[in-house]
Amino acid sequence: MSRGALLGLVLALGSSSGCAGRKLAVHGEPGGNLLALAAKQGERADKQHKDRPLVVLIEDDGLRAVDPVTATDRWRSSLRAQGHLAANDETVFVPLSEHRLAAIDRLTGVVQWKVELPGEALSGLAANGATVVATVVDHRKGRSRAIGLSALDGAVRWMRRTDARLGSPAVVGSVALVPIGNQVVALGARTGWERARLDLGGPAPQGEDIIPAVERVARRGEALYAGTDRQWVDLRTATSGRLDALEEVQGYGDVFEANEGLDAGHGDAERLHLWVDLSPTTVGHRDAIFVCRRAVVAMRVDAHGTPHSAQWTYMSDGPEFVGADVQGDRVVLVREDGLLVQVSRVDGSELDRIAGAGPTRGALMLDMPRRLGAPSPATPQRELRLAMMRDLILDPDPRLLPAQQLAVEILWHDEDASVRHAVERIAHGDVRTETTVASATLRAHAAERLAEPWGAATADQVEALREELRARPSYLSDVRPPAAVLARKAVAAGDEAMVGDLVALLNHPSTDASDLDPLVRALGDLGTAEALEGVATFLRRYHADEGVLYESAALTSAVDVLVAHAEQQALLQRVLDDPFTAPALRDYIGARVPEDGTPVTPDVPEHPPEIAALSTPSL
Amino acid sequence: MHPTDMSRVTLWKSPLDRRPSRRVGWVLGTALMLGVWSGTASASPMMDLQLELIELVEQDDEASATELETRVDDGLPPAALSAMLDACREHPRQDLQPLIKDLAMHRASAIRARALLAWAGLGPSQSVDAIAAAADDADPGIRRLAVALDRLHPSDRADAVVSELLAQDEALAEELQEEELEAPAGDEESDS
Repeated sequence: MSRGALLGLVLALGSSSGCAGRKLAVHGEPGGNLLALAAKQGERADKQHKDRPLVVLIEDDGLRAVDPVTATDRWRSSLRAQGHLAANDETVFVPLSEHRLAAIDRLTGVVQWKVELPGEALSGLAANGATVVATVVDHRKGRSRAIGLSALDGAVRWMRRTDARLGSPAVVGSVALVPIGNQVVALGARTGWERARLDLGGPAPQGEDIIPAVERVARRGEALYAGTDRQWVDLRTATSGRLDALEEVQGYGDVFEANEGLDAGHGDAERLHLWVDLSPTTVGHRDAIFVCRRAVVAMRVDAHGTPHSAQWTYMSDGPEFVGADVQGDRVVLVREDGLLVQVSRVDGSELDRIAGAGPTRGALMLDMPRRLGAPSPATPQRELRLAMMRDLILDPDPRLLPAQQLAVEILWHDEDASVRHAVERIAHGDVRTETTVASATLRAHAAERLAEPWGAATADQVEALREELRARPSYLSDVRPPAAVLARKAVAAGDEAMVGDLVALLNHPSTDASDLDPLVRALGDLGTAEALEGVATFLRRYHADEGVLYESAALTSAVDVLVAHAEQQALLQRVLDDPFTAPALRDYIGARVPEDGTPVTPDVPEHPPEIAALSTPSL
Repeated sequence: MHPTDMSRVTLWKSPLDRRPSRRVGWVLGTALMLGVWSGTASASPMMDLQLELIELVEQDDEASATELETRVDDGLPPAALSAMLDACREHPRQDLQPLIKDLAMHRASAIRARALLAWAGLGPSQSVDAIAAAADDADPGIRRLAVALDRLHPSDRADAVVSELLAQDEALAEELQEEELEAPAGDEESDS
């Protein structure tokens, strides 16, 4: 029998009855090389793929397709989508009411076919050129099914039932990747036959309602990720059994939308969406973008998902964002009034906008151009970034509360104490004084931050840090502790037991001069009696030494720290009165401690960052 | 850390090697001369302070030790500390050892060097500790001083410390070899 005839026979069997009766194991034996298979298929599909940029807007009364390059309407359709759309190069597939599926020509918007899907409700949809793969809930035939439909006419090609709930599939070339239990299964898109199965680690799932450990699979570049909510795993390292997690940004938005087995369409939850650069990081942080109704906050998060610096914010003047995607150097946003806007991923500046036509609930963005040709701008200066955060926090719009809470989080993790001081102002009601639930919630959120150590570390991290702090510089042992880094970490840990070691490093002659100022500031931030005494001793010992005064800013910083504490005024006065005090230091203290001994500027630096103006009434 | 004259100390021709007390004597002599010359008023507050500290070191009693500790704790200018430490070297006092050890951790290399010299002069055990501290210092000039101190206060333990230092500090080891080659024959003998 020729190979073609054999394939034909197999296809015929598959389409008639072959896979329909076969159960898909919830926890099967891992086998095949899913990654190699997906890589090969993905490469082949990419070669055949032709970019046809299109944005399909899901409007209240139908669909509207817009060409994002020419800003023209391509077509309109009266079909009302009830779930998330999928597409291949030729066709857009639209879930409809009553568990139906329609296919629309991608170029013209003409409806090609409509079919009723097997099962009871749609979980997820994906497609390649020949097949639409759907996962559906079906209690009559087990718990759910994976189905392959012909992309040409909607005819069912194969079905696989299973006793577990299935996640949303992805189609890469000719394989469909379906999450099931704690595994991802690769099914041939044309036949539904299992071709590979990959373990995500962890124990085999058991019980009545087995939900997938990951709810969807996504292909980004050459990498495959599987995830749910705020956890994801790079399938190349999946067998480690560890899902990367964004623990600290929980509550702000989903990275991988979790639909709990049902595609409910474009709901309100999608207006709170978190995009995270999932690629492996070697620099200790990831880029993340939080879309919160009418605000977009770009930030950096550390390995634990702790947001630690804002990059920029972008605000809509009223309508909310219902769709967002990151394409190369841009963030593409769709607003509920149908406006399509593209902003720079680097600085949040608006690069392009296409006016909307009607109320919009969501969007499917296809083959968006990776660049618009505009030169890449520079990241905004720190002052500007802080000003953006200030404007976001001061906006009384209650819809922005999650973004404002995130902004408070970011400010609280800033290394500059004066920036963190803004969180105190929020907590104490110095700003956002309006009597609304949102402002009260924001105040409570800020107060919670104040109640916890700044940038709290885990117990293991604290212990490791203590160990690092015990080391002293030694030439013979070749030990040179990174004192400035350790100082910042100690403040983040908020562990008072570390004060002694910080003081010892401050007083050690081999501590690098550039580390002295961070050490003094860290002790000031920790603010315990022992820490202040360490700073006071340093100032007392070296106040008459111009060499130490000029090798770093540590002595002037020590003055800044001590001037805020009444019990240290006597020391400052003694130093001021000492005829041997370095003249420049005397002038510095004199400007801060006048004759009556009252500090002039207890806690505001000479050049306060913008965020220090949070309490300015005019703002 | 400040680069100091101590960083450029020449091991074979160090004035510290030859006449440890000359500098303090000079300071004292100058100070006394200036004091006589100006009658009851001294030449400068710094000179007054230096004399005061030197006198405290020479008092050699418990009260002076307490007073010196208080003065150092309150902060003294480097010139005053230098004069005090030179006096300590001239008049070794065991009860000032904590103070001297404390100043051996001063940020200024010049102060550390003087403190280490005074510390090493307190006795054989203290000299080994001082040499070990000098050998572990980040300043190359202080590490060179460790070698000089080993020659001033030789012992097996100090030799071991210096050997470890020279194994670690290749630049210093090479420098010493070159100086040994350049030193004229009999120079060491004439010094002694």
